[in-house]
Amino acid sequence: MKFWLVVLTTVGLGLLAGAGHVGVGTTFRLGLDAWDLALVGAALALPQGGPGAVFLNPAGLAYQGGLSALSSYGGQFAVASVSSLAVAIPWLGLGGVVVSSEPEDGGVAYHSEGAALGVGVPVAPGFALGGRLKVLHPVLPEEGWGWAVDLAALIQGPVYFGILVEGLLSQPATPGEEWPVSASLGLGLDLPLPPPVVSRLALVVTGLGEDTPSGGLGVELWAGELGLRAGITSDTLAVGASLGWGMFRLHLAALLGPLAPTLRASLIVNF
Amino acid sequence: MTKKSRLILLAILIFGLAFAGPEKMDPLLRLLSPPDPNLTPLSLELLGWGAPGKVRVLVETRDFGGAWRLPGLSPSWVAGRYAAGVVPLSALPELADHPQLVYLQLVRPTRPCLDVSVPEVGAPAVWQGPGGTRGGGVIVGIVDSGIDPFHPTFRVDRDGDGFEEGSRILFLWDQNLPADGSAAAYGCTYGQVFTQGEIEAAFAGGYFPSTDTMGHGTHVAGIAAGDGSGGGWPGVAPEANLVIVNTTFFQDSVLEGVTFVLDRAWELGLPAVVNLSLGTHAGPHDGTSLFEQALDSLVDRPGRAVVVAAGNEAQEQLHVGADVHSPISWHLVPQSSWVAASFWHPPAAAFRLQVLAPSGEEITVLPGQQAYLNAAVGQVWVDNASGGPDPRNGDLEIYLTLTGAPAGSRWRLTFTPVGVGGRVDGWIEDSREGYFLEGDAQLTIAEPGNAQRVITVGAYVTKNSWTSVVGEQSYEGEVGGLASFSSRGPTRDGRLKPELCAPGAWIASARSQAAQVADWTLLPGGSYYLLLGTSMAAPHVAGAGALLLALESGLSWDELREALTQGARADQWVGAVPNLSWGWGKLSLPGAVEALGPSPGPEAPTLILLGSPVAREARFWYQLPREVSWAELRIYDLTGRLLWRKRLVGEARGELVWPLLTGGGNPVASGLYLAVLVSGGTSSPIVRVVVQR
Repeated sequence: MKFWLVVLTTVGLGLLAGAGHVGVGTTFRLGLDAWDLALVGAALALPQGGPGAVFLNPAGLAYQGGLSALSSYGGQFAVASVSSLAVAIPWLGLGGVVVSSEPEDGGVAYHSEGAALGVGVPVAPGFALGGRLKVLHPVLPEEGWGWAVDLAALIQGPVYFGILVEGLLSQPATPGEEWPVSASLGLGLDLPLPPPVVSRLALVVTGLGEDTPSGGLGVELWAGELGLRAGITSDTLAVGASLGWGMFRLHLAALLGPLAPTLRASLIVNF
Repeated sequence: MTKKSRLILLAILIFGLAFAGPEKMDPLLRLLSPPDPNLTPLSLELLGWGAPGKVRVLVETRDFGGAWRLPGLSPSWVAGRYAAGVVPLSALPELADHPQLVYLQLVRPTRPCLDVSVPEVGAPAVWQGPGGTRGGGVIVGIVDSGIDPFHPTFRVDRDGDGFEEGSRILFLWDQNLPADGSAAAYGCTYGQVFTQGEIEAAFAGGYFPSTDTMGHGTHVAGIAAGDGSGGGWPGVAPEANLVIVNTTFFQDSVLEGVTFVLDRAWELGLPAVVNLSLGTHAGPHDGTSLFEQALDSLVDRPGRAVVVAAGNEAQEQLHVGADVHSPISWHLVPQSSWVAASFWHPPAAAFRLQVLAPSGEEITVLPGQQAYLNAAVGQVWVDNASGGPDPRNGDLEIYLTLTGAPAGSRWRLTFTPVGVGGRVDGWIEDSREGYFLEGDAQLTIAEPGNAQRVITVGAYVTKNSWTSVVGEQSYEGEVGGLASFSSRGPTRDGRLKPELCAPGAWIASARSQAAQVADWTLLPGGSYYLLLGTSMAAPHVAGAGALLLALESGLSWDELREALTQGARADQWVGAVPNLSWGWGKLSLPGAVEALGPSPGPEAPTLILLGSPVAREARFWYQLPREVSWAELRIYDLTGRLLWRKRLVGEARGELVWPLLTGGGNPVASGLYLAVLVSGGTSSPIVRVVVQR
């Protein structure tokens, strides 16, 4: 039932999707932490709670317990820096991301900021809905303000399903540009490995409704406080590792793609 | 003053500066409209080069093309973040407050800097060697006092009938002629533009409206690219094409002239070298003046270079400099009714400036202040870094201007450190205006010779005697030695300048029939005469650059500079290289060709974005490695998602356009995108494409 609900919702919202300006919400996609980056964004259906859910899938905030904070920093293809901060409490998350690129040769600088307020609510056992308000603030080369409202869902069962529909309501930051409606669909699956190893497989298709949809496949292994993961898309390979220590958890990710390597580190503190 | 009171004073000054805000106008503009109503404003009419109520300015803006949005400014030239234009004096405060403005600089006038020399630099070896070239297929641009298009050295006999009916001048823009609309087609708002056809048509009638009454530009053009016909000697690149700009010599016009040359070359698909035998000493001498930054921005792709004369001020005593940690006095001696000087020091230092007039009056100007003194023998305006750190380089400028003072009078300038001292360097803007009694030869490279991307050329002696139409002549200076006038480096920020030296005394080249020429410099036949100066050295290097570009058209400015400097030769005159007088030594074309190597072409694809940000399309220049016949341009968003690709087959170099669409035809949003050119298992460095609608 839930499965079909998700599929129908996806199809329905996909019909809403229109041809806007591709890439309006890129700033928020860069807010993903190192955990999700190493899974090439495929963790859409893997709810962990945590502050990163505000960027990944706000429905995941329904599984947040207590107060957590996330700090991420990394270089993006050696041409830009990305830093993000997020905090989460049960059902609520707030995050901010800054993307900055200052060329060495005196060319045009680029600077963009974004903030997201997310809500995730459990509506039935294993089923959560979420929403998010994103505020976009391009600073350079031209300043502007825009916003968008997204909806999300998570279904937990033998198979996990995640859905995110972006830009249902929106106001673009640049006059004359349209914020397109687009959808992402994710699947997750626990792999049957002997304890203490826990392993999950994740699959995602993003950009449904845009003309450049893309897919990704990720897998991760956890043994106690040590985690390893890898992800692949048609032209990108990503690897990552995690280390937990008490209330701290450190994620590292490296993206090896057609462009220069991208590295990101994220620190999560669970209070 | 006690140590405690000095500290209090320093704290007050620092506090005051911190709240003064970064003034974005140069000090001369601040003196034209001082914030203190009690201060007598400086009048531009005193300078003799300002229209009443308006000023010509160079502008740096935060965004590309930002000059179009500045209040009060009427731009005449916009190139990326740099622009030139006119602004009413009354609009200066509003303009300076605008967030788009980075810096506003009053346009200054520049002035021209001035057989055996061409063989001396080894040009014939390049003309005649294997795969030799005489500069065909390359543009030599001369932005100077114009040209005598009738001179045979710039003409060509295409049909072999013995009459030179053709001109090697492809375009001529005379900025000094009244506008007739002909310039508008080339994006120029004043003057007249003549095409090659129009110049050739004038040969039949014997009249051409654009002339070179100074003679300087014709002489310079002859050195770089004359073919020697008419009883003279060929220049360095005698088959290069010429694009000539008869300039007003104001900085904005010079920049527009360089743009004109490069635009024409780009349209024709030819590489270009522009020669600037001109300069001024107004500016920080560290490459950050807007004149120099704008010039750097024009040399933005392979196949473009700008060559600049170092200046002729080594003996003019126009520079003073010292590490000032206790009071020091320098003496300014005016030679004309107007003299301006600027002193630069690091932001950590502060100085109290005392000006003592020869008639005994004295003013003291504290850091952050402006002051005016009406002395019995002249008037002085001083701006002691009233705007705080200059946003271009972070340093502080003390600007002083003196009018009405008798020539030869001595004005004592005493710099006293307030708190921390530091290095101070000062220049008189124009050596004809005056000199310092304590002046030296160091740091005398004229602007724009301190720019990062230009090739700056000093002069040495290759001839000191000749037979003129009035008999034997001789001149001081040993053949082979550095010309005594040749300006010395380094730049104020410590970079090596000049890059190299070339023949500059005395040089025989083409004579403009419209110019008055001293008989003792005129050679038999009357078509050639001799001049000296780094103005004459620079076109030797410009011609050399043209030959190198004829061999390898994709050379960038730094590759060209590398070849010229690594190929330069040192002898007993030059000594150990590099040094601050000679740079890397004497121009040697065979050495430069050898340094260039066998021209294997790039090992990886080259991709250069032409202009940024982009609103409608992104244009790229590309070059592929040798023996590679295909490539693909790929556009990614910042997450690494491939948005667009275009396959190229055939041309090894050329232009590419991304229409700001995805592969599915949807427009991309404003933002940052990444472009790479992939070919033969290698790819170009990532090119940032900022889309802003």
